[in-house]
Amino acid sequence: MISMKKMVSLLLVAVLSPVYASNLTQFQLDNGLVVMVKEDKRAPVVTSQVWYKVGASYEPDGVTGVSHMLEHMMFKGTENLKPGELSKIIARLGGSENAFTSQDYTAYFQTIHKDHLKRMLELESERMQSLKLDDTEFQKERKVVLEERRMRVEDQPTSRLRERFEAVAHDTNPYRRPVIGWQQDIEHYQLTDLQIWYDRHYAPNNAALVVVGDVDAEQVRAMVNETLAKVPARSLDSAKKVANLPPVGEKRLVMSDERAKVPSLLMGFAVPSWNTSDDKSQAYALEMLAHVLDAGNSSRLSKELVRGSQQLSQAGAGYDLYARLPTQFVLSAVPADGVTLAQAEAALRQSIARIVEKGVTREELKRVLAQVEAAEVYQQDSLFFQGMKLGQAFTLGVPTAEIDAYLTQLAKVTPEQVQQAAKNWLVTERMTVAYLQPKATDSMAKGGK
Amino acid sequence: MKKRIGLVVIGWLVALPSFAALQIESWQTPKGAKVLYAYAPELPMVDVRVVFDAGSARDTDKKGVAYLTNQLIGQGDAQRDEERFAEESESLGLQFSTQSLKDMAVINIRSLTRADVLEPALALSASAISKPLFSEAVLKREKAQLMTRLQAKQQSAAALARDAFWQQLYGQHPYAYASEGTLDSVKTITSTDLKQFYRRYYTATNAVVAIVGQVDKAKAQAMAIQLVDSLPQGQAVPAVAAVSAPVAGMKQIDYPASQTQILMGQLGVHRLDVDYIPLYVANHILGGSGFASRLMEEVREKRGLVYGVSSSIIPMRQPGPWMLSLQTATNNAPEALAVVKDTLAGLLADIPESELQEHKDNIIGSFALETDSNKDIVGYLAMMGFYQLPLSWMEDFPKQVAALDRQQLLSVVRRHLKPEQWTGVLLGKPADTQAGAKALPVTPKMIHQ
Repeated sequence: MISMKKMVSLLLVAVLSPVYASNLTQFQLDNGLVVMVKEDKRAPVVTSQVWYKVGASYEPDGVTGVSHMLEHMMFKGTENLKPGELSKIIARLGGSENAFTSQDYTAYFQTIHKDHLKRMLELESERMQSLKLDDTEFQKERKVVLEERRMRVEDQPTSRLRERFEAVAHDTNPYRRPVIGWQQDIEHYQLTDLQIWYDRHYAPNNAALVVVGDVDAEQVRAMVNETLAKVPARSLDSAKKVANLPPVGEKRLVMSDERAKVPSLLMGFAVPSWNTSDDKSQAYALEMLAHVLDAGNSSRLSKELVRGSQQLSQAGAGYDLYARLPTQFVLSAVPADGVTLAQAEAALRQSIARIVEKGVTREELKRVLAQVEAAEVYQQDSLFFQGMKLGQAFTLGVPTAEIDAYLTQLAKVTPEQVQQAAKNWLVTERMTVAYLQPKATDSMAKGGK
Repeated sequence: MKKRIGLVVIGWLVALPSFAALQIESWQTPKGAKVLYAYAPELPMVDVRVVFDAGSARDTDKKGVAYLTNQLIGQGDAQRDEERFAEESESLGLQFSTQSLKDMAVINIRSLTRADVLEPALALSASAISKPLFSEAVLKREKAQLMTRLQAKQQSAAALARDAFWQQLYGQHPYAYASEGTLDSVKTITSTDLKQFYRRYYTATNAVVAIVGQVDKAKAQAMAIQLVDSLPQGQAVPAVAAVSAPVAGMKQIDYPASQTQILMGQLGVHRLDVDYIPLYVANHILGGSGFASRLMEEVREKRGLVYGVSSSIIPMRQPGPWMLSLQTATNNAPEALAVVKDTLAGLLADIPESELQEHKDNIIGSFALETDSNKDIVGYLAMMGFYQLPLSWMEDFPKQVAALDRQQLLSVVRRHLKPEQWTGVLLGKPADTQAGAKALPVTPKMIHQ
């Protein structure tokens, strides 16, 4: 989940796809800051993004959501900028800006005319080292975040289901905590919690600057030398190694919400990510499996269950290939009218069983590869998305060369490996199932055992 | 260097953005479809948007016919059933999608321009657009899925409030209805309805084709003919019915949520109205520019009452809404409404020259950002073609904004903005929202449901 400061809806594709390395320049400053510059001169525009290796998965219990709260406060004044002034300066320059927090990263970005890039770097240098946390501003912004939580989660039955699903599915894995934080934690942050978090994580040696657009790498280097290069490095706590308990068996959750009118379900399986796989080809096999299940109308879930048997009204599958920590392979479904949650769950499991028993075809894999290959070209139409992939690679600890090779790696996956991935990982012992059950239809939607 | 950050430097916007690089050409196909084209050679891809004057404003008593007609395009045609369409298009990496709005029916096509991909992709798209099957089986399934989505709407406070607001603003006019129709209306729709609607509105005369990408003009000419000239020429469609002023007042709708949704507004202007640009600027100041706007400053930044508050002026064939929306904890609704009232009154009272200049700078400066991708440009071209704006519109827009005089702006605002005539909805828990409604200054009349 990505939680953003402002009302901007970003299409965040779960899949990171290749970055064309040909026009990418990458270097590291003496203070530890990593700089990635990608030239794209189609329009006189740049996107400038500062990525920090911090997010909800780094947080201890009791202050869940503190990364996100701090992200909000990063617009609320520094030694030399009044609260809100940074946004006003950027608006005046014709730029757009925002920030977002996820489990594994926090990022700040501006899209602006190329002439103003240096100014953006000055502003980011300022808030990287001179944030001023003011209690009055904090108390107001806490209210804003509580409203954000009400809007995103409390008043949305399917978001509530997702949040509680993650809490159950992940056991000790830090991904069990919501990015926006539990309401009680938001209510109880102290200003010092934010100061500690800032001091611990906001430093050039924990960050990357990504610039994509109408620039020359050498120009950017010169601008960086006058701005972000002057921010001193700080000693950082290394992230604690987290316990990852082996799954001990199936887990089930049935949630009811008086507002829910349509039942839905999530079915997750504890799986390794690329980062946590000893055998990386296994991670790509899982990625291919997710595509075979859900990549367009010709993929399995749509073809078999939405259009074929018509048991499901909607169906999806997703896998976070490059997650920093072990992750979940998640299937989701909305049953068709008259179909129970139990029947919908059985239908999903049958789809998996068909892959386990009969495997997948070369044709299916070819279709996935064609779509991925085209999507790589299409993604170059967006400066922001190109930057996003570089920033994610940095914060997730995936070499850009690996991300460049995404298509090649997927192309190596064989039908047998996909079948084996389903057989190994999509098993009951690793499974968590969560139902959202409308109250009025308790009797008819009753599922499980 | 750091000390300078706080200074606002005036005078850096030396030149208006230039679209010299973007050469827009326009012509008609032999059958009379209007084409707008821009050459974008940088990426090996092409974006096409085909727009028909076939939005839900064309629905008769069966609401949802326009939506379902649009939805079934690409789901089976004379040459191939939907399974084959899905497999063939996805094997090419072709992205083919449809979208049904109030004014327009939209078809989006994105393809690689390699000949071995582009040719079959065009053939598939042309067949989907000009020879759709509207099969009974597909319609039955799509109706069932649509009804599930309409059910799911009942669990979204934001969706319910949006529908109620449009209803309130437009009364009996076709703009009053969500394009996807209602549970009752969708039930009655038959494939004959879709075929009739398609025959009437999906004609060459009624089509606009926008093309942006790595195709030369000759190819673009051929593409437009291939995509829409197999359609009958057809007849010009009549104007959409005129709208009439709504009944002023706020409607209370009970809903069990932690936040109250507040949507309110009045009729704005149609797309070609000469007052659109001044009103666009006025709305930018009011609530159309995120953190630079007065509403965000007053409601969120000063008081922490909301996560999101914004206003928009939506120009359509007939006057679209000038509206604002926010959501806040139910107890805060009265205070939020009072602040909104003061903010509206403030806009009528004065817009200082300095504030106007800041917003002009932002609008002009950020216009380049809105046109920095093929996807953005194809969207602008389709909009310009559909609403019959001059080809120079993208160049003119920033110039017109720059030329806007403060007195002229204030007089246009005072002529249009009538807070005492505003209409709207409060959707949330009853007791407190009722208190909120009472505090609302713009309600001569309360309607309870």
